[in-house]
Amino acid sequence: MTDLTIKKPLAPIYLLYGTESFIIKHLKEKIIHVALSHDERAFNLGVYDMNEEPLDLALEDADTLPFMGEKKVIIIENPLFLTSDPKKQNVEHNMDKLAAYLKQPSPTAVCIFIGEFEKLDKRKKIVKQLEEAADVRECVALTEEKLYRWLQEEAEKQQAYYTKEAHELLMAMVGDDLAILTNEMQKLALYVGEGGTIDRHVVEQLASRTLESNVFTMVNRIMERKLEDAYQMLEDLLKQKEDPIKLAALVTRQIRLAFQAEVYRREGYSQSQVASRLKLHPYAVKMAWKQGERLGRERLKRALIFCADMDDALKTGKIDKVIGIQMLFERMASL
Amino acid sequence: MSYQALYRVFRPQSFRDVAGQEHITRTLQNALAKDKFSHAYLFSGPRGTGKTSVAKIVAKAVNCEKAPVSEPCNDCAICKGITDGSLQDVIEIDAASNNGVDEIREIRENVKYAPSLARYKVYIVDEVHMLSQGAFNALLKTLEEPPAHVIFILATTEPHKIPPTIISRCQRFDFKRIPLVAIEARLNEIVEKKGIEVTGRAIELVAKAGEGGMRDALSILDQAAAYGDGKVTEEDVLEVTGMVSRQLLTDVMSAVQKGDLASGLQIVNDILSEGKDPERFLEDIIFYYRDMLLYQAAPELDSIKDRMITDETFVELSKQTDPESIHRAIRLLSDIQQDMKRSGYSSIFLEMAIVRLIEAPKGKQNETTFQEAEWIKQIRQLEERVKKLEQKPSSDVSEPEPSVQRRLPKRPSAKTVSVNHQQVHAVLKNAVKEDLKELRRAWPTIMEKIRKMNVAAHAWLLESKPVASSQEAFLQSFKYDFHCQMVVENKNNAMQMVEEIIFELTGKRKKMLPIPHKQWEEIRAAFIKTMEAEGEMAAAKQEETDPLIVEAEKLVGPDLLEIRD
Repeated sequence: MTDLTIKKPLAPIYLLYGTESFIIKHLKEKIIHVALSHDERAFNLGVYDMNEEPLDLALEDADTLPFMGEKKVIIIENPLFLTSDPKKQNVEHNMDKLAAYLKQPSPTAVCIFIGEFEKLDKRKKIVKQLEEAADVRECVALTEEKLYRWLQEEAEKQQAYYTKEAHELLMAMVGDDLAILTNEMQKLALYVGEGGTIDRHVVEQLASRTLESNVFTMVNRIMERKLEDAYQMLEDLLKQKEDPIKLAALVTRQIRLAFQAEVYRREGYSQSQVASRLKLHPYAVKMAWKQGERLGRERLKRALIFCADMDDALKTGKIDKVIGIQMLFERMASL
Repeated sequence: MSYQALYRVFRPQSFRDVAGQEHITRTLQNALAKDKFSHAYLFSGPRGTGKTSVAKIVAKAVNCEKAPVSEPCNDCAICKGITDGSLQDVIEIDAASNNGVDEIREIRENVKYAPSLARYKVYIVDEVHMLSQGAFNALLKTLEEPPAHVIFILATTEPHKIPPTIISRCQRFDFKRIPLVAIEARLNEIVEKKGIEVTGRAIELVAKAGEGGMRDALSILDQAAAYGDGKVTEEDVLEVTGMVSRQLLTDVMSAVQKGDLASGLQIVNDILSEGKDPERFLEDIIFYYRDMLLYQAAPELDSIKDRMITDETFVELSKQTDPESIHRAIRLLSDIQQDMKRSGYSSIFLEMAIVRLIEAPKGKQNETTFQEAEWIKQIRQLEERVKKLEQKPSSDVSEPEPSVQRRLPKRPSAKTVSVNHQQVHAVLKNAVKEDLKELRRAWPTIMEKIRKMNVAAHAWLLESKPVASSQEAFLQSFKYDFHCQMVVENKNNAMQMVEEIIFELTGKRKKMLPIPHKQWEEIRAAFIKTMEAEGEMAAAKQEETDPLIVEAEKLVGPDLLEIRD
């Protein structure tokens, strides 16, 4: 699990890598924040892209003394020489020099290696040496529990409270992209103000829904026979110039997911098994699971037949696209 | 001063004037008051919901001389400068016409420089979804590390066209469609301020016609006021929005409901003589039915409000008609609409539509939906399959050859097609002239059906024809060996398909024996010889199989035909 804390004294070398770029960025900012004051950034922060500049240059910079300050921060981006990526690099990097530097890092510099790749090539000697010398943080997607805590902290920065219920709804509406979630949280916290509580209602009001979550809710409304809401949502989506065929396909997909989840549930599979079988995000499965359980297999199956029927009619031009979808909704609601 | 459109005069200048977006204005006000605003915002929502207005208010609030404030004062030099667009530090860009990389690069160059008068440079990029891919990438770089004195506000009506990389760097606000009541409230306010006289449900109609957008609603109010010379009546609004022409539609619908064919057709006649487009009118009828469907399920839906207000018949009709027949009507009309598009006589189709709508309830049993038709077809197919299975054991005993022949197909010799001479001769011996005629007559229909079911099979069968038929089987001659081979190998189940269609059409179950044309000629010649040798009616045989004569027979019937050699 990624350690997200950065404390003084700073390590002379950091290695941040992984697929969750938002966390990498977060850690980088934290390190810079601890090392440099705002004014020092102008002359004690060096950024080197290894795709364009040789490593030598960065190390030389690290060895020179900071200007008007105690520390300097050297950021080394795209160190592909740490991976097994066979892509030919147009810049030569001197590995011996790096090995020497790792043995005796400059006391006044903080070097941050930043790689937005999944894996290090641990067979390489230089990687082993770096792992020994550096504070290594692998930045991977947060677990559900960690994610909740992360957002909670974000809310607390603005003295707002964040309920677990709201969290579930937010995840359902926004997805699991950490950067977007963090942005949403700042927005929600601002809305409720200091001492306010972010609950389901607030999230419902303010969070920016993804198309998938819109479709999910729409399907629920249809099946609950709340056609008024469903029609209204459809109209709003069409107004955003979403393609009707795409919407019909997404509605079908959602019903199919719920149907699949329900079939697996009856067979005794667990949610996580279903997620890996269907190659879907656990949240999507969780939602489909609930939906399937509530609606039942038979109803979903019949709804699915209606969808297939309408799909044919829409694509062969037998019927106006929007009217076709509205008829489909009416049909499914009458099940 | 020249006339200014209402929506420009009444563009909201402070958060409290913004209609229907409380959740957004409150969040922004909190952020502004605490000086915690973000450096990039994305405003998305339908047109006329206040995106650009809010963007401008934000620009004023951050730069207002009294900042941090939660509302701009609209009084200081800076606020005024932003309102009339003279302040250089608030830059409005229409991405629809400046969508290239170069324009965005220019922005990137310029963001570095500090604002001249205000505290923040505010870039308002409207219609941001119109940017090109390259331009988005260029913008991304700037959004990643914006200078502290810059705020970006991106506005769009189509958020799904914005790359996720951009979205994740912005604080996103979704502007909602403004509720009908909120539009009405604002309209009333404006009407009062402007001293416009309104009567009846005019405001309600204007609000509806705005479809959730304030700007559209105000434009319509503007037009209606100009039309009615400063007074707005219900009729004026109907006139301006084109809702008035609906009377004829209502008349048609009630004629249909009553089953009054004569007056229904009369109205259609009137419509056509007025020069209205029949296609358009048919579409209107479809939408009328659609709205009935919506009304039944969701009587409170905003988008059908206008029908409810202007058309009493609508509510009545909706209550009287059951959903099933609405579905049927829409399907029927959509079909007719398709035909209409392909025909030059669209007015005839419109009349036909009226006739069929009125007659539809009578023929209820015959009208089936796609779904039902599909089921019926499936049931029929199953029935046939069962029958076939029942027949199988007996046919296996009497004729073991066919199944053997069918399982032979993997033979590598593609050139020579295997023909079971025994079976062919059996057919020729027992050939029935009437059967062949029947088959030939049905052949075009059969081909049509096959084309719908399987294009490949249709292609193979295209250059082939039935040449002889007995009670149990028929010979199919193929011009090209390859086609024959494909059918013999029973690719795509071509054989069964043909056999089943024949069964469907004629009620006779016949086996198909494909044969290449050359072989057929040889066999026929040989057969005729043997027949002649046996002194049988060889001439008749030949005559029967001559395609020219058969064709002539098809045209004029056998009675008028005289055959001379």
